[in-house]
Amino acid sequence: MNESQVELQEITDPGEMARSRSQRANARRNSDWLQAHWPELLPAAAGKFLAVAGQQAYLADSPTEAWALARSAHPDDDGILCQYVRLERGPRFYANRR
Amino acid sequence: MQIVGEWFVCDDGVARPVVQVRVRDEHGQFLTENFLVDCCADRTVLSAFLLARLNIPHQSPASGTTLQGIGGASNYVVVATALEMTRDDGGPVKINGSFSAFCDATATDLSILGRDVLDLFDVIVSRRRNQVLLVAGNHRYDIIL
Repeated sequence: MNESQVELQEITDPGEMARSRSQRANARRNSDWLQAHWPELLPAAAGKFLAVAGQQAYLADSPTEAWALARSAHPDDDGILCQYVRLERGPRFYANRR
Repeated sequence: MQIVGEWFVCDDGVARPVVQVRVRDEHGQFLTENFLVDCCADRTVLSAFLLARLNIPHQSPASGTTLQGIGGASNYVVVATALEMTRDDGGPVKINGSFSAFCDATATDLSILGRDVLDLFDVIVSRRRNQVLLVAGNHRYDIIL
């Protein structure tokens, strides 16, 4: 499997465009909510897996658990955002660590 | 065409440049994740959290290859999927290919958009103007002195 071959495709199908816009807007709402609510989520969220759906946060000790919690609470939200919340504090550069 | 990203405020209060990307899962549905715009990364790398959500088949990397950073090598797998971003006119752009994905769920908080994808665009990351833009096609930029 060649890892460096990528192909860009512009989609103009009206149905796909509508779906893309709607999904982006739903994710935008969750993203905006998350950025405004970090102070309430921390420090409890540190070291946890976070999913934001329906502008609510779901925390768990595993990715699958966080995802399942969010999906079950908001099955119609196609803009769920997920991420691991780092334990470490301080400036970051995005090289991997051991 | 241009794709509009944002300066996303992370858990530490620091704003970092991201683009919202949707990635095709096992059912052909697209799952959303914020990808860090990282011009220094040779490759796009999906977080292990995203990999778990996608639940798509993956392969071991080619023998002898590693995902190397300053801190050392990371275990990874390779997945064939499509990344989707939204153009400024609302239409989607799909990028089909094979992408790396971390195995360690704590390796990164954000998935990483590297130069395998970014090289398709002119990349503008301006904190001063609060802009993150991926520019291609008929769009271009000028430096005005």
